[in-house]
Amino acid sequence: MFSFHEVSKEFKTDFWEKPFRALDKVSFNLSGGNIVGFLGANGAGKTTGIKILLGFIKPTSGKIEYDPALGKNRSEIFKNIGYLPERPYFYADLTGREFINYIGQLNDLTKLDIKKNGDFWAKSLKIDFALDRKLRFYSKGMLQRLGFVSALVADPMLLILDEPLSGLDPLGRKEFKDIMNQLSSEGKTIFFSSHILSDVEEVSREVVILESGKLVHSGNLLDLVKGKTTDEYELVLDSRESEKIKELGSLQEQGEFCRLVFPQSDFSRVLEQVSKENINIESLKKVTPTLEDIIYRIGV
Amino acid sequence: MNFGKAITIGKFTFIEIYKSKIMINILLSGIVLALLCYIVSEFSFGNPSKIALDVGLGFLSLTTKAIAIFFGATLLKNELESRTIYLILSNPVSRVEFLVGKVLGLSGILLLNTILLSIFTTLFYYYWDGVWNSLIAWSILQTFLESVLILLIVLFFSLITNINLAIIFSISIYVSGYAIRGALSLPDVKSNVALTKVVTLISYVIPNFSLFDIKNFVLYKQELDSMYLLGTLGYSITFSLIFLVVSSLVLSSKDLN
Ligand SMILES: Nc1ncnc2c1ncn2[C@@H]1O[C@H](COP(=O)(O)OP(=O)(O)OP(=O)(O)O)[C@@H](O)[C@H]1O
Ligand SMILES: [Mg+2]
Repeated sequence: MFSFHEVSKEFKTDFWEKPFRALDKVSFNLSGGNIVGFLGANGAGKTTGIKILLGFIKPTSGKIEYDPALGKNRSEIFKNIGYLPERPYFYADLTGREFINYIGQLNDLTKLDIKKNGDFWAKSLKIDFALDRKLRFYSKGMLQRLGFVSALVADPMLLILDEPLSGLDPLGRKEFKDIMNQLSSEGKTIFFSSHILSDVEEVSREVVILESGKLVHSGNLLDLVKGKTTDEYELVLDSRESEKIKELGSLQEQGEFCRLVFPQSDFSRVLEQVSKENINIESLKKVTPTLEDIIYRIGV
Repeated sequence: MNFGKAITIGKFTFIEIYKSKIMINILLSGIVLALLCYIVSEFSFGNPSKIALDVGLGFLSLTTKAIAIFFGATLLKNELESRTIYLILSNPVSRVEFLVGKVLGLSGILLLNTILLSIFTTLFYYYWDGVWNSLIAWSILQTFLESVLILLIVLFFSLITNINLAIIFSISIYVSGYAIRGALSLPDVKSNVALTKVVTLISYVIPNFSLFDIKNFVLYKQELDSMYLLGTLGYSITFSLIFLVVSSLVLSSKDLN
């Protein structure tokens, strides 16, 4: 769908200060048909990347390339892109319906198509009841829903969503995720930023991860987890029995239970001890870090 | 440049401004104007139809300029600051189409104001037995085009400074543009060759707003060379286009943070 080629962005903060590097030679390629999570902590550079992608700001160096499948020129490409901004910014004096009409007309849709698609998505996103109100009177979550409707009204191939789930109630988050999954199964590509990893894990197979403006991973989520599995095991047992194995590795007390983490090479030694002392095992499993663990460990 | 896109943007810009309280203001100013015309023509000596025309055209020129300056200063600035511009530019719309559309939308409001106040004015003029003169229409047209030019000037400044400075700069340009030709005929300037050169140079750079002010001809001479009228028409359109192009260049190269 698009690729970043060594994209860097520097912001001049003060005249005499050294420019701040928000993105540092970020390169990745986003193939079509998937949901791709764009991850990173606050200030990692996600929104900056999206603004460059959409041409709102220019990269200091590097460039963006769009897949020819999206279109030959800017106009065709942007017709195939739907965008939901980070914070819902809106025209306070327009009604929801007027706003949808506005966006539909800018995409050269016919009145009929605008009505059909607009009503369909407004209903799916449960905002149809408020379409005749001025946007001034919309709540944050309502604006978010309307923003999603307007991103979808022209039936784009590629959706770029900047933190689509923030500001929504739990039900709304679920509805948005369901719609994202549905769109993906229809062959749309979704690129969405978030820092809530569990949200990403729920819908996404692919991720792009930034840390302080640098790319730390791009690709399959499972590769990331697989690549990072340790060859350690953890054994959980009743803490009253901890005395019996304390020489075998590092022990962590966790209330009634205690947790012993040991390398694979010690596996048989630990098991021997366990059977010799007749220890009651709560659980024994391979240590697999969560995505969250990995992302916060990955750049260190 | 796809004009259809610009017109769509113009349409919704118009709707948005129209729905913000401005229409109430325009109607209120129409009523104030009506009262003003009535009072002045009732309680003064001289020709009441002339006075109605004088007050009406003066009021029209003042209000369109005020709308042009204050709405022009925030027209793009608000879009940039509240980032609503992102919602539009993420569609198949170029920055130039966006700019032209915004200008069209506000020009529509200026036109609406011009038409409404002109109707009020001519009604009063006829009420006091005024006689139609095509210069009245010319004067109204000039006032409208002049306000569009002012809108484009303030828009340009709003792109390179903040709203307050944009308003101050534009008013300064208007005042000096209005006075500059007068300055050339001042004895002090005339007797000083260097000063004449400087003032002449400035008068080429900033538009001469006194050209558009043909109210006195409308009121007293009631005729004006048609070459002059067409000339000033071309003059204001040329200056407007220059400011439009420069603003387009500025907006196109700007980082929209
Ligand atoms: N116009 C600007 N001028 C100066 N610095 C900027 C500008 N825009 C962004 N930055 C800086 O660039 C860095 C990245 O910001 P960005 O908004 O891209 O982060 P983000 O990953 O979207 O964060 P969040 O998760 O909080 O939305 C931040 O340190 C921010 O302060
Ligand atoms: Mg962000």
